[in-house]
Amino acid sequence: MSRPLSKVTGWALLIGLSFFLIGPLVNLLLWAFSSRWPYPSLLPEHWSLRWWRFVLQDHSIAHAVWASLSTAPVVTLLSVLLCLPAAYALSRLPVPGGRFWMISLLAINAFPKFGLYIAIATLFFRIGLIGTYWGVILIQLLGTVVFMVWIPKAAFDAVPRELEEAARDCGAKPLAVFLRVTLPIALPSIAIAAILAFLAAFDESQGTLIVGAPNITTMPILMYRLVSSYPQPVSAVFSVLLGLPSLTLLLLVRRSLLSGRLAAGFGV
Amino acid sequence: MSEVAFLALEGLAKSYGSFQAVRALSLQLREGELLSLLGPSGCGKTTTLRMVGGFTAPDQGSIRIAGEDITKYPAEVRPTGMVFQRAALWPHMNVWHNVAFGLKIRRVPRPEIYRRVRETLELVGLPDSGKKYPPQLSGGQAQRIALARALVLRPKVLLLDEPFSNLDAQLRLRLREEVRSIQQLSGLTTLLVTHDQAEALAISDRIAVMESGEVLQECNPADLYTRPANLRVARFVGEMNVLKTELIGGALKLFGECARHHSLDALVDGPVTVAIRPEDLVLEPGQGARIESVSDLGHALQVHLQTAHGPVRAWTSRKTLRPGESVRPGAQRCLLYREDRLLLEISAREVSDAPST
Repeated sequence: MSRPLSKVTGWALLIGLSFFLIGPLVNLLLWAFSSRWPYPSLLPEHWSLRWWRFVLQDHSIAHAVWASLSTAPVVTLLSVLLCLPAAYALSRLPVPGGRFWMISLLAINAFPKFGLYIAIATLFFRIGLIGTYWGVILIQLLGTVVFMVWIPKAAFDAVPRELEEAARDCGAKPLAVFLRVTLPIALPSIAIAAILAFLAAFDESQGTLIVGAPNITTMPILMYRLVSSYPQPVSAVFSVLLGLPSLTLLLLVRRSLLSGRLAAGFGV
Repeated sequence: MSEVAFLALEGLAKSYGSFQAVRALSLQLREGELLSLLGPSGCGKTTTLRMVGGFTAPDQGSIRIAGEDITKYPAEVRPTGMVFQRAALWPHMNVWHNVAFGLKIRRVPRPEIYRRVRETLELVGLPDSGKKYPPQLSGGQAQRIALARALVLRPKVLLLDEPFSNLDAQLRLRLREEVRSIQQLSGLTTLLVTHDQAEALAISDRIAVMESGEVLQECNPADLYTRPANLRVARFVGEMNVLKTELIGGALKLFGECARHHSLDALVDGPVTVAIRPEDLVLEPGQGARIESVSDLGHALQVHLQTAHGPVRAWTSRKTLRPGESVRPGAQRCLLYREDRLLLEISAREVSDAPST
């Protein structure tokens, strides 16, 4: 008796959850393709691509797309290059005060960041980084560090020592052990960390607004302006655009993450 | 040892803080010999093996292989091949690449890699497993592949770290015989770490019994079983009755009799501890021991007896029972023993390294 019951509850939960998760997205998509959608109607009265044309032809929007796409991937790459060695060191080497560093990375995210950004902006102003590309890169990098250290560190911790020792026993030098054994086994988690870092950089608005103004306007910052000064379909179109990079990323890594073989290997 | 040692450990010592894992350990292995380090967990046997493999740096002492001092070499350049307790196969590579890994690192030409991997997989009895991934292998298969991964590099010394301990009983017996025959065929000098005395007795040329970082006794399996150096070794290898009694006027008081033995001549009167194996006791009609229970071991009957010295186990074959005789609980028997099978220690000196009888 308990099985069919729990099945019913399961479906109810699933439907409820999809209503909250997918409902707003559907609504967003409908708005993006509508030209008129007065209150009581269930669906838009007029369908059109006119707001897409409007958005894609707008120069400030093209600039914002470029500003976002030229910063977030670079931030992700830098984050990987800087944080992976740190994560490996914290996992495998006797780093003095290792726990302190791990906790302090979390502490950055434990408080509202606005105060931190104001303080950093003051510093950046002195050294001439306000309104520059590298200023924005640095401020976005800050928000990614916590993912790119904590998650890969846990992944490196989970690689059994014997697997590395077996590789050394077969003649592999430390770098080869890392590149051919440790890194491939930790890769699924590192990929997830990199996606989170990309999304954090791509969505970052507070720090980018303070440090990047007035020269650099990324997509989330432009979003604020669009929401307040244009009709609703414009921000809907823009939201869809904003979601595209993450969607593409997820589809790209889906296959390797879900293949199961890498995940299954952890229990050896 | 008079012959030239192929693997020589001299005065190896390793401490972790105040804990001395290995103390001044010296061992020599001839070429092609299999020596087991046997002992309870924490006795230093694994630490010793890891020092030979290059994964733990000794505080003192030296390790030589074929005359070459390798003490300072890192693991990756040592001519040793190790099989770990949990096979430690790389989960992201299939069996073929696991075995070929070391050859690729050494930049062996591709045709030769192909040939050697195939030969080695055949040697361990899994010629068609190349495309499988480690999670698809059974425990025994994984351990065979781990062995192949070590053998394919033709190490001078093979190191086995309790490789059979995670397998079920039947598979453990079969695999250890296979490993032994591969080892003998290829003439590989091998160091095996185990806590299983039956395993050590079954496949070793020599056994070194370890406790608290020291070698208690080092000899061949037969001698270890019949002539354990002291009670600590005796308790660890095989079944043993350990009984407390005393020497009176140069005679040993045991099972209701006082017997003079030549070996007792030099000893002073006082409390002693004797050890005797269950199969070295013979049951005869008479008094002195009461049968408590009998259990059938298959190859023998195990008789539990109560004596003046406490409980005693004796193994008796059905064939030695006289017609009509049976061993029944409650019956009285007289226990006989062979003097030369008796291990005797003066009780006060039991914990020291006093030479035994």
